[in-house]
Amino acid sequence: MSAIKLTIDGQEIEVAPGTTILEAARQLGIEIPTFCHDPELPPNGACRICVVEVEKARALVASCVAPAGPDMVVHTKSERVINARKNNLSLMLANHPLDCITCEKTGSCKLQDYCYEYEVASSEFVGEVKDLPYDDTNEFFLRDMNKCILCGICVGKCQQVVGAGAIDFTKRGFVTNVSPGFEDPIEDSSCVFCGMCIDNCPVGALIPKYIFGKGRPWQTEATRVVCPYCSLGCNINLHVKDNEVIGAAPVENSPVNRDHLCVKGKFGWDFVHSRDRVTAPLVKTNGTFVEVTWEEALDYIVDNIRDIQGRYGADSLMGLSSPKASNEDNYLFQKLIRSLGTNNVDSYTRHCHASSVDGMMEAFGNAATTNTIEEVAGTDAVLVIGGNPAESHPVLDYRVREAARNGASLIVANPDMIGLVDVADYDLPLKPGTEVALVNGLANVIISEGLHDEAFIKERTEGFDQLKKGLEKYTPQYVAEITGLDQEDIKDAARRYASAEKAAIVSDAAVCEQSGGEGLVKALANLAMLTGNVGKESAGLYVPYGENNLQGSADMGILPNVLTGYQHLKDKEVRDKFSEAWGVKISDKPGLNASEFFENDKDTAVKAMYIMGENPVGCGEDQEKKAELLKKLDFLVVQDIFMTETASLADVVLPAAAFAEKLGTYTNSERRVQLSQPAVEPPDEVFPDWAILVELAEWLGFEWDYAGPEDVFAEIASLNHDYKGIGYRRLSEQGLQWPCTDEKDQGTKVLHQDSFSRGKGLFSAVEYDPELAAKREEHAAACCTSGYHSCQCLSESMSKRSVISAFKNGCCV
Amino acid sequence: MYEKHIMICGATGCLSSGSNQVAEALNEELEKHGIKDKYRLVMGGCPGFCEVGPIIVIFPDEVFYCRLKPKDMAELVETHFVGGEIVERLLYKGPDVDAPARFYDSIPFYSKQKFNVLRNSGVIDPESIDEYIMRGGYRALKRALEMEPQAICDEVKDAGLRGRGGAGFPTGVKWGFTNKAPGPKKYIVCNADEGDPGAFMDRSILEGDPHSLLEGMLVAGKACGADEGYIYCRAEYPLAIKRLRIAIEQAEEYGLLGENILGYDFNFKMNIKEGAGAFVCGEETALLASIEGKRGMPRPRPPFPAQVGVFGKPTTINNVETLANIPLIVKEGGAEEFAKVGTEGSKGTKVFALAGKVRNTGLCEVPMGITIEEVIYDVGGGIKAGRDFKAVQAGGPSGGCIPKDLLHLPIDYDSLTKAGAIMGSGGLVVMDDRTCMVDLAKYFLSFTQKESCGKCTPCREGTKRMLEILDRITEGEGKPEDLDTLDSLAHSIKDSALCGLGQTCPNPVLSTIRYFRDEYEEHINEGFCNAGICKPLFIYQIDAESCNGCTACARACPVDAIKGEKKEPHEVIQELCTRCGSCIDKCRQDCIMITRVGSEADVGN
Amino acid sequence: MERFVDHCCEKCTHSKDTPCKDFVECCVEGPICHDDQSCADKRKKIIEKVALDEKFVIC
Repeated sequence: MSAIKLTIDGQEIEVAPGTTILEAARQLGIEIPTFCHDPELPPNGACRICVVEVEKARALVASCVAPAGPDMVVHTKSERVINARKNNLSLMLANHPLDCITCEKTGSCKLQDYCYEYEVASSEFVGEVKDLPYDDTNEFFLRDMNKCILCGICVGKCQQVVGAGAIDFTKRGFVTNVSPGFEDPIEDSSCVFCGMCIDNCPVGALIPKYIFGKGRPWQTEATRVVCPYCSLGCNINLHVKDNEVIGAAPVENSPVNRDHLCVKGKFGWDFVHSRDRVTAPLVKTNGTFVEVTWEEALDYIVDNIRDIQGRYGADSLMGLSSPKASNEDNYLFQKLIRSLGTNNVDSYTRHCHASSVDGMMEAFGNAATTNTIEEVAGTDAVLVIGGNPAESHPVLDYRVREAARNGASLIVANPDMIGLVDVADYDLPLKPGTEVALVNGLANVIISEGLHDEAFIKERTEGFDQLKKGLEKYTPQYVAEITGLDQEDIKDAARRYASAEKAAIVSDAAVCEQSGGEGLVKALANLAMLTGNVGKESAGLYVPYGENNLQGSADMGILPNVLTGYQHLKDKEVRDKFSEAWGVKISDKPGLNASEFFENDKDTAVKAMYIMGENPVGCGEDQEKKAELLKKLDFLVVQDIFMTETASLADVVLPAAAFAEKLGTYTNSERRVQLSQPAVEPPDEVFPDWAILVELAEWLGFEWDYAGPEDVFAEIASLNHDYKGIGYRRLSEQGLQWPCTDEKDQGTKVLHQDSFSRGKGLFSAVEYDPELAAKREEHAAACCTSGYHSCQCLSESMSKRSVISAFKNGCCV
Repeated sequence: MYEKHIMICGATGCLSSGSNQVAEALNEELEKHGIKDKYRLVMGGCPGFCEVGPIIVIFPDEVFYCRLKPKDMAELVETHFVGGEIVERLLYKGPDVDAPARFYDSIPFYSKQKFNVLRNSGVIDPESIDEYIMRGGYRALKRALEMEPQAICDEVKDAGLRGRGGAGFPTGVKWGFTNKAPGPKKYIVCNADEGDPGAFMDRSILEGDPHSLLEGMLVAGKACGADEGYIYCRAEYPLAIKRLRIAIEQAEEYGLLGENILGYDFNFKMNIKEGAGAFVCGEETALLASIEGKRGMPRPRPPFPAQVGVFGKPTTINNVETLANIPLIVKEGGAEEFAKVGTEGSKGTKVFALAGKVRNTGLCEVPMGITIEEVIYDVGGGIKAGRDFKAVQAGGPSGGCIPKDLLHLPIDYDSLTKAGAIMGSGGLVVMDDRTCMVDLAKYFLSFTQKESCGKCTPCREGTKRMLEILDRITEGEGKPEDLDTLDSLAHSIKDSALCGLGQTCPNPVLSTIRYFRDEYEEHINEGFCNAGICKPLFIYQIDAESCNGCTACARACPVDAIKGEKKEPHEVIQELCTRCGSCIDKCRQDCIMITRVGSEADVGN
Repeated sequence: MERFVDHCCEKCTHSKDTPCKDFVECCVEGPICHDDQSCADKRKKIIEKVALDEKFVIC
């Protein structure tokens, strides 16, 4: 179709068919006011402020919805238009509280701005004004519907983008309102407090409570950080005034989360200023903690470590690092532990992620999610299984919904009726713990109906025959019995997944762990490889982790059997490389992993532990047992921002800086390395983890020479092949996805494009484990809402000191 | 074979006048005389003359009995059925006839009417598909099934049928758009929401001849390439919905709905979707949203329903009356016949619901081109109680008033538009000099304000502010600048509102200001409502010279505000008077005056 | 034959599952697919029950 020529305010322009007059005007740099227009939502045309005059049209035309027509002549500022806009504003103002002086929205309010621009100082219409009660009883935000101008953006975002569907237009005529059903308070609705309505409201109807009295928009500075909660690594603008974070809002253009957030990103930063912060080094003396100087603390630590290692050997020391700390923090941690002669370094998240990691490693050779978050929106079919992204990775849930809106087939396999079921094409409410059986069943149907991608299987994989044999008994009938599903539904879903041009699988590492572990991940990998859905855009297998830097911490080598970049200890060349780089001898003995330590009933060789940013005693099951084990240690150092349950057992507590207080990089589930800026200064005696480690290393006699985290990263890049081409200079707002092998490399969006990390993808037949299913049923009864809560393993140390703990379904971390 | 056929009006109008009880009484009387089996009793559709209901028409005698009560049935049966003589006192009587009129051809109400769309209403049993078929039903469908879809569109276009819902868009052209839209799935939607207060044209078709709508939709389906239809009928029409359901069941049984209709490669599934009390759902895009289960709010156009309609598929939306015309047009030779009636630009007939201060209220179907004057005076019988004509409101809350000097205008789409009025869906409310035009505008505006969906600022907020101004004016608190404000606000709303409701709701205000500005000015500047409607703006006074002391007014007054001796001039006690109007209704001397507040000081007694 | 959709005799095949193209005309003018006065009479009877004169029926 040919381009369309039109004239706007005397200027000619050619645009593509389907372009609206508003878009065409913007291309010419002509601004037209809008309230209800949002590029993410379907054309609205409600507020009528954007009306323009089109010659020969009977009435004024809403430019945000009207398509540009050939030879159209448009006037955006004619007298008729200006009059209409003035009238419109006057009408809005007539029904709007005029408390701009104290309104929190002053300075960023569109109504105020347009009234200023169109010189509407007051309204000529004096009559009834709305007098609705505030919706004010929730912890997060104030809903003052008297200020609402009914643009409908909040409704659109809530119903379509987020899918929570908590609000809609109610009643009609002059008393039209936007509210939850029956005008219930918002906390009694299906609101998930993602903040999208707040961030998009053009006026002051929705105000986050954290901002009350804190400052005006022009008094704050915005700093771009990476969210410290889940592994999507959303970018957030923290608003800072007088060295205090007073608010958070989305950035405009993040490649990870666009301008979307969830309750954690929007509201979860307040723990940074919690009064529970540890603000000075502490040493336990006679059973109580006493504040000491850094010198005293470090001296004490060095003495004890030297003593214990001297008596019991290098392997009597173990380090537990944090999947929430930055790459620099983590890299230096394992460097320090290894420099002290042992490979006993791991992260506690092992118990909720390790087997799914292992599963992917075995199948693909790489445990990272294969594709990019943004790509999910463009897929043709998506299978959501083993988790509820709305709880664990909300922004990913938004993308799945977008894919469904764009016509993709959505298959949801979850025992609970999760929100996605509302927009799903296939709903498979299987019994908990039977996921492996279902996935095998889908694969069985695909093979028996000849829907598998033979070319892909032949060229890119191995082990197909063995898989085929192993799948023989998973007929639809057999699987239907186990899962409690209908045979036809299973077949339909399988056909739909297999026949799509690109199909993605969205799961959740932690939940996978609990509902089939390594087996489930392998079964999903089988499914993806069977249909050729690995190594191409908008397809793939998404198994995102729980914590923000779990990927990064693993990349850095927080693992007992591999070094930075997953390079194997057993390999002498590797050990030599690191020995040279670090100036120490690397032990060739693989270390203990966290599970081995915590599940051990006998005496272990570990006598001293250094725990950074992790709280094993505060999370999940067997908390008392873990506490006992730690108490048995001769020496325990805990480095954290709060006095957690674990820290309270320590001999020394070192105060660390929170995410908002330090510069550093984090690697999200799609392998994107992102730089997070410091928004505020930490309290006086508090330092970033990496700085503490450098200081401690010096005290221990190592010569580390880093001017700042940038230098640390440069060292990482020199040793980790996947990070080789990344450096702080290159980490602008887009981040870079590894593998990124040189300065010119733009990063890798999609893994396994030409070949798998291990060469050929490996099929492995997986058996369904009925015992696991039984355990899941038990578990579901004992846990929170769905039993498929992905934060089973997390200690809530951040979230319970944040307002987000008031939101029951917000998932911990 | 029955000796006689007794058609009792069973449409909503006569039902509320008690035609059910009349039918029961008739049944009883016939049974009493043991002659019930000789006659066929049918609760039929509306014969149109609601003013004189309940109505019974007897065939083949061709007698039209009206204003019936149950207690009349004894005499009716004895005299007419047993005795074979007409009961004169039950015939139509009125100032427009010299002697009681026997049948349609001598009743002036029917003189200028032409029954196209209402051809079966009151003549057949609406719950009988066989009768519909006997009257030529489903022949147009059969013929259409043998034609090419585009040929059907062209034939309807050439016949000159224009949308009867108010917009007047050429139906054949509209069908052509949907026909050309790509895709295998398309819909036909019938807008049977009929939200205009006082309009019941579509209701009569649905209650009296539901198969004509089904046939029209089937032909539309064939012409547009659609295989499924929705009838969106307002829930306030339970009888219509019942009749439609029965008709659909029957058509399905007869193989006229469903798959492989009459053996042709044509399927059509019919659904009924009930409305839920929202006037805005008569607007086509809001109607589509409602069918989809969403809140009834209009959507921006383009895209138009012919491209993106219900469930995102190409859709043709037509009004009931439009579709009921289709079987007449598409039957053999029908297009020619149809085009013989009406004017050059507006072919065919139009059904009007005559209401208000006219003597003959009811439903009438007249050829396009008839003048408004003819409708009001010849069909309508002129103004009740000998009062003067003031204006007629055409088009309900979207329409404008037509004053005396425009009565000569012919009724067709183009003439009315030129005069700043619209035909609308067919509601005609006639007003006499006791109607206050400001109050009328206020009435329609308060309706649209309540029914506004609330989506766009001009309609939601603007109508409220206009209404507040009108409220003030009718309460005596009008300000001189109010008329300019109303005018500019009204134009602003018309210019920028999102949908037809918003764009047309200022019309009653604009047209009443245009033709009755002095009345507004009198309210504002002199605080006087000369029609005697706006209570704070007038008082009743009895003219002592013409009052004959009959005491009718004093006896009617519910608050004892009139004093006076028998045969002596009476007087209104202003402090007690609530201006309810009971006295003025009763006065046969026409001596109760509507005067300005404060004028009692001028009148000595 | 009480209603038009009832078969006048075994020769009639019209039903919603086995439709006959001439059904509509046949109701009033039939039988069309075969000649039989008694079948035509059956139709007349249905019509006469509700129609008073020839004016009622429209072909």
